[in-house]
Amino acid sequence: MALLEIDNLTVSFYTSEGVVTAVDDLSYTIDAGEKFGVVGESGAGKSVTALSLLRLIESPGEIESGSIRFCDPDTVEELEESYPEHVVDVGELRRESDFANVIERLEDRGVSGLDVTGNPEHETADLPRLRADGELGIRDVIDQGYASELGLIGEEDFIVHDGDTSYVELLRAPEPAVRRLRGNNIAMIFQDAQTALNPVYTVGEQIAEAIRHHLDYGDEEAKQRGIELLDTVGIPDAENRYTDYPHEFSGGMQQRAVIAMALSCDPDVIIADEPTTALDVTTEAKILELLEELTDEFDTAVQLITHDLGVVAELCDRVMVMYAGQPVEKSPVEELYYDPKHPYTVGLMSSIPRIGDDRDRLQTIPGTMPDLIETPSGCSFHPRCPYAEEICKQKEPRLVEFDDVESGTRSAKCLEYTGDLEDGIGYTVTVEDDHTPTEYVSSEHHE
Amino acid sequence: MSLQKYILRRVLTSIPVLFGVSVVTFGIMHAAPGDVVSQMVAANPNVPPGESVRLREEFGLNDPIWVQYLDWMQGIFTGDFGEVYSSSRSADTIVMARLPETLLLGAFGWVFAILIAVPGGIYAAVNKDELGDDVSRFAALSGISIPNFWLGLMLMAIFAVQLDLFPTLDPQTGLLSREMLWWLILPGVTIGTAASANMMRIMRTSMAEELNKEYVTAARAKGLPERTVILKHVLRNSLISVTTVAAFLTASLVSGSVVVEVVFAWPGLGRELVEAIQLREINLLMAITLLTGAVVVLANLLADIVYALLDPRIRDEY
Repeated sequence: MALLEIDNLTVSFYTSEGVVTAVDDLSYTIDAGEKFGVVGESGAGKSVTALSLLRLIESPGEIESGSIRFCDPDTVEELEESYPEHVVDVGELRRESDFANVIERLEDRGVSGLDVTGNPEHETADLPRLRADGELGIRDVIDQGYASELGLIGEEDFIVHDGDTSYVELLRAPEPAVRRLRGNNIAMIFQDAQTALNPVYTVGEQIAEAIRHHLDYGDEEAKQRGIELLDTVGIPDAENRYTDYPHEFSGGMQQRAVIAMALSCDPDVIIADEPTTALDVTTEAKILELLEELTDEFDTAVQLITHDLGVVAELCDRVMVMYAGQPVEKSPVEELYYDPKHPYTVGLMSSIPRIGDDRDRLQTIPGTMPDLIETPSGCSFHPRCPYAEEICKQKEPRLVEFDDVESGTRSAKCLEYTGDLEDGIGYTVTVEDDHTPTEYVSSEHHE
Repeated sequence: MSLQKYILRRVLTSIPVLFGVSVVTFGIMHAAPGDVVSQMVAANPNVPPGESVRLREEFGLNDPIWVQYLDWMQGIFTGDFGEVYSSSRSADTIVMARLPETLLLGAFGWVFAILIAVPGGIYAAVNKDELGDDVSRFAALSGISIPNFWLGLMLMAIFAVQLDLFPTLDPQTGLLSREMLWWLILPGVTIGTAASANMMRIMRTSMAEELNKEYVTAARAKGLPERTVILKHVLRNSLISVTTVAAFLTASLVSGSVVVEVVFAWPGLGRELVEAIQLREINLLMAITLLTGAVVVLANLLADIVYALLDPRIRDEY
């Protein structure tokens, strides 16, 4: 099991203009120690995804459905001790419950195969069939949140045990349990350090308070650890700067302090929400380097949110490209750059400025992100897609997985890969090495 | 270090303000028609015609206005606020005798206002747009709109007369005696209500605004309990604008005390002020006005210091 598994997450905001579905049926996983990039334009739902992981979506926003599973054995064990009454043993359920009956009741509710396995290929599949194929088990029913609906488990049963694996379901966990994970296991680095720091408390205090709270350190110990952390993130003269207020720090130093804050309780995963957008390019490079170094050193997983594919290339192992609240492409980083599968990814890549580029204008993707209250029919990217055909307005593509790539699975959400496009998507990827262009891959495809 | 420098600077800048207050007070009082002599003559028809000229000469009322001002200021520096012509006592004896009573009343009203406003504002902001917020909004609006003489009379009618919980008259037992403090409650509540309502609205607005800031999300993302997030992180930032209003409301507490003191027969400066106005006792009037001006200046000075304690950025501006 991965460290963090997000399944069918849907987050909506109930505004006076209508319901904005900021995150729509989103699934992805992050392994322990992995660097995972989330890329997309403003409004793609990246930050909302991040806040959902901490369950910090505030009114009028609401997490509608889905599952966020956190699987760190030590943490699960600790929580189990505190909440013994909220533990579910899947093995026991498997033995005792009548699964055929469960499936019948699911069918009665009109639950589709996609809903309960999270696999887009199961969209039209028949539930008993999936069960017979071994694609659907009771874990799926629990993971996707149907078990509490059907009364198999209690509504607040958030710790799930299945043989050797055990995990915490964040979306069912009571608030105090979630608070124990925030900052302690899942930490966040905010976009703009200046606004993320409270102006009226010292930088040191803002680092030390989490240490005191989660790790039960005394005042003096917490201060020592705080000073060490400031030193680790490269603040010179950390002992004196510890008592400085945020406004006495430069922008780069503020961001370093925020990183120190995120690292303070040695978390399993850090969510970095555009950690360098407020900084100048030189500082940006330094901060990214620092982030990479430290997360490698502490073996911390990172979910790096950015609109900048260049940043992803530097830091990440895998990447998910988001558009209008949905993933349009998931891929290991290298493959994404050499062979982007989705036209939106191609658009993002051609808008990266390059040294030695002789174009006088930067290429952009025409148009803007659609209104999330009324997303376009069919493929939500079709109004901006240069390869869009009539069918794109009608049929919503599903994420198609590519198994032929050796280093991990890739997937893309384009009708091209279900054979629905007549003309295909035609673009050429040129890999430039030392300014000598070599044509590497051509996705030109005509049927 | 910078905090001490800041405070010293604030104290020094208060001095010219106080001087300005004295000039304005003196100017306004002398611009008002009639003087103490005409008042005395009007009250007593048997005064011979030449007498008023002689009295004006004796009181120095014929001197140029700046001479009168300098005479007056000279007196103030030696602790002499001048004579009260209609009685044999001097202005400073009256002021000194009455000042503690008014300060006690004002302080009680102020503390009462803060004790209601801060928790009420926090509650309203945290439960924004819910029932609790609506209730507090209604309460605040009522508090602001109800005239304090009416509130005073109603409180007296219900709690002192009907329920007999509080005395209606001065127990005359000394300033800090139990009976006196008990008697203080109704006028104190009356004077604090409007101020409290004002402050509560400001507290709510400023806290609701702070709650939207990113440092709040950041504090929550650290896993801190909501209590700590609100009472440690948000409260201190929200108090900055409340401090401004609290200082500003000192002036309204002072003016409110006039009505409340008359309604409750509270033996403070407010009642003396009313009498001084009726009798055109210019020295007493000026003494009281100057003193209240000084109180307001002092309140603003305190507010400036509180700002600096709350917000390190203000300290560093100097």
